[in-house]
Amino acid sequence: MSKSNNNSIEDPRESNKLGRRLVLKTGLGFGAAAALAPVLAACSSDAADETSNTGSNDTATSPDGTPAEATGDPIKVGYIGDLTGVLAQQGQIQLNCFELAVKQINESGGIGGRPIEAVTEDTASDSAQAIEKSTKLALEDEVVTVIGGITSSVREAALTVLPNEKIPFFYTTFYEGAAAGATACDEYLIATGQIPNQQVAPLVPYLSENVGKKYIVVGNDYIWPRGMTEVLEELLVEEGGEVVSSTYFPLGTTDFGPFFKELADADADICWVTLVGSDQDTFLQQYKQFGATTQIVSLSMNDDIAATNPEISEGVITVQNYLAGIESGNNTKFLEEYRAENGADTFPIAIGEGAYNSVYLFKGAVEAADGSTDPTDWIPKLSGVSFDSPSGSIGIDADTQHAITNSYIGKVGADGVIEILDEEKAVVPVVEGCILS
Amino acid sequence: MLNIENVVSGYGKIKVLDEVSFSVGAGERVVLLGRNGMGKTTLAKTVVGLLPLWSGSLSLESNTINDWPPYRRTWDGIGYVPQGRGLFPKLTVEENLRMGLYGTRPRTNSIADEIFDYFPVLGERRNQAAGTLSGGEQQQLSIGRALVGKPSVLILDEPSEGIQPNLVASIADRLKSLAVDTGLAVLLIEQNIDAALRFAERCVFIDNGTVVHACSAEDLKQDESLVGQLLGV
Amino acid sequence: MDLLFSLLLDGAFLISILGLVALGLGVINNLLGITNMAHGEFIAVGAYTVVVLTDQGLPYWVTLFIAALVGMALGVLLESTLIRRLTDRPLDAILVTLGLGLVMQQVLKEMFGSTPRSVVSPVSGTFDVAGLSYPLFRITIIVAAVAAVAATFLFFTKSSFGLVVQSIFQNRESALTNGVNAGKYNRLAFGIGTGLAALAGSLLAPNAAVLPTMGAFYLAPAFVAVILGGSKRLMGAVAGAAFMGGLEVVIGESFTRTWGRAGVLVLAIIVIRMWPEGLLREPKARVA
Repeated sequence: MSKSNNNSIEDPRESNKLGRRLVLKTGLGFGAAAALAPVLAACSSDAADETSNTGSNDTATSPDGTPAEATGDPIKVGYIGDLTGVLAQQGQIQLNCFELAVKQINESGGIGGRPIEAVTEDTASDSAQAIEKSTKLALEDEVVTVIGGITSSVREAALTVLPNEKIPFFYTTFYEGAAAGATACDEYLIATGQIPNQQVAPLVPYLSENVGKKYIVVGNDYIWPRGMTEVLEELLVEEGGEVVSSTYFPLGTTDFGPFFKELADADADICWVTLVGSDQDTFLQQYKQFGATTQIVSLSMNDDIAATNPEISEGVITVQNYLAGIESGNNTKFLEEYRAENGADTFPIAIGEGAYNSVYLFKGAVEAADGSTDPTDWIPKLSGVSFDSPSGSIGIDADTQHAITNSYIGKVGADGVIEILDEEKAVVPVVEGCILS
Repeated sequence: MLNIENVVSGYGKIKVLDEVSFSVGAGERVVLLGRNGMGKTTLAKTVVGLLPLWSGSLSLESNTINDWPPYRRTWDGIGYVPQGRGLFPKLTVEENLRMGLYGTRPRTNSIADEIFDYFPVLGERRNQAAGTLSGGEQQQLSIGRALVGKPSVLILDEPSEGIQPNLVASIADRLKSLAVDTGLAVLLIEQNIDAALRFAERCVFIDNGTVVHACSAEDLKQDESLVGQLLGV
Repeated sequence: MDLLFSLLLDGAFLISILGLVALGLGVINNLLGITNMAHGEFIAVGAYTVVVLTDQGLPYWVTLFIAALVGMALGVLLESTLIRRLTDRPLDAILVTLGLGLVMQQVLKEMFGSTPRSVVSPVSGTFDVAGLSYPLFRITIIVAAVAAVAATFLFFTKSSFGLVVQSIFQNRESALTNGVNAGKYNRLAFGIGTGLAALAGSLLAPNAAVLPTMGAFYLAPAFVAVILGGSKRLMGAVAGAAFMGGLEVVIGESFTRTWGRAGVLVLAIIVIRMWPEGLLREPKARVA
């Protein structure tokens, strides 16, 4: 369009002739050309964004009724996660789910007509890398929000950067909430994973009733496992249970031999495992070798691990906001589409579903804010957005900016399938003293 | 036999030898004399292949050996007794000698008895670790090991260093008779003039990396002032 | 009493694997004069070989030997194509092998994915000693590792190959001028080193999550073990590994497991400062 403008300044008659000829040749009527014009105009100026999106549906549709490809100015969304290192497997699934949501949204009209452009960065479970990559996403890529994160150390590191740049961070992994000095209340933190009152609080009474109240703890040595032990100990005060001992191993440990003597001495009912990534696999393997029989409760057990290594995962109890065994139409569709992208025998996991949900919640909030990507416009809209997620209808709690989710207690069967034993609907997150709204 | 032509070489980037040329004929015993730091050891290491040749040419018999690795030169007839003896201190005397067998081509698997004839002490100390031998014994082992490799030319770098004078003379005599008996060519690098003259037929003086004088051993014996002049003693 | 037993057994287990890793690293370091930063990836190669072959139904004990051979063959191949160009360039060698390790990691990731794999222990059951129940399989691992170290030791001291290797250890220049084609031995020595790493990986496979990055846990202490062991003695690396492993278990028991890891590395730095020639020092060769 700007080119034809230039032409008309130089030689109006020539340009007119050319224009008419083109229109005749392509056979487009004036009506079609006129319909295209506003879209093209919207592209050229940011100011036009809001007007062009007003009154539009979630899904832009082309005249023949199929969902249109989003064609507007892309919205840049960052992903950070652990794509290498101990948590690479979980990180990859998280990214797969994130990418699935981005793909689905882009194929059905984007966010108010604008496609999402994903920028992916690997933090390798390392705080320094998390800071570096967050800074890169914020300053170099100029993303409008960041989604992802697994370990608490990476979350804390990312939160030293992103709020300063006014970039909201969707953290999608279950974590310790406000325990152990973790950051749980920040106007730029939105959590779609569960916190202890959603994950552990429903689980402990179940265990008291069905297994026992005497716990021995083994975890990795960082903020999440230690925070979870703190929470567990508090909950056990009410339940009349106790934690007899807790041992923490550095990330990447390949020998848990020393723990098994403690386990044998402890005579506990429940072995509470907060080991993450491959450390959990190694632990379960050695657990079996040592012939230990105490009931294992592992907060990072998921369908993927259970299906890959059923012989060592069998019998482990876990609690998650998403399990593949959830029976709902949404979940069936989610599983189908996930597997179409990633392979027939693959499993999405809770932190991945959290990332998937985050993209949709972000879309909902931006659209509710009339297409504005300014966080001061869309963050307040989050609490009004509800999303029919694979794990059920979820929303964001206005005070804490944490997701209101369902909790599913499951146990790994001999075939590596996690059977859902119990569930609690729409558990509201509790972060004491946190009022962001 | 061994031809050294316009050899330029050194350590790292530091040039030590500048256009050195001389040759050692079959069965000939040549001594290379010169003050410390004038390039004698550099020349020996260049000839055996431990230092790269910068320019010039090295040939053994009719072969140009310029880019041959050290072991290949050994296979083709170069024997080397390095300065400091270069023994394998934790291997026994016999094991050290067996290592010499790796230089034989065609490959032989036993140590010739004559080695023990020339150096009887090696037979007596067969199973002792090389590192526990005295300096003189170590020197004999180093020479013996080089001979096990059946060289056609033997290069010895300062073999008299740290050994009692009477033993030096004895070793020099034994080596001389060996060379005469077997037709072995020898290039001896030496500071000890007496031992050198006792042994060699011909002398080459090297100074500042170049050959400054060459003469027969007889000439030197007759004009001892020449030695002082050339070595600056 | 049972604490002592548990410390001993835990220590022995850690040391047996670490010892194999360090021995392989030491052989390469001492013979080729280079540090193999890709050593950890050979551990993973060994472990994945076991994963693949046991999936095919081969018995675990057979796969051990195949894994060691695979590690060795890969080592020989890499030495003859890549490593041999680096013999006299130790700093370049560190960078190149570091890059090689990353490539190997990526290849393993492409081949097997980043999901941890596991191998079922061929020996199940536990035995009870002094009130402590310990897996039988761990004992067989310790025995197998000790046997492998002993075999390596005998090979290096009793065979003619070993004689040459020792001579290269003790005086590389003399070995060359005695007619030893050091390149050939470098190739074999590198293969033996990587074969030992792969063997360690194959012993580890039924004990830990099999991942492309699994070697990282052993690599740092193995490096220190090699430095502690000094450069002139083959078994020095094993002694260094015993020191590192034993200390880690004891500190881990007395304080926290994380401190066990960190403390050992700190102590190792102190030891290296105090005895730079290593734990087993050379008896000085007599010079008259």
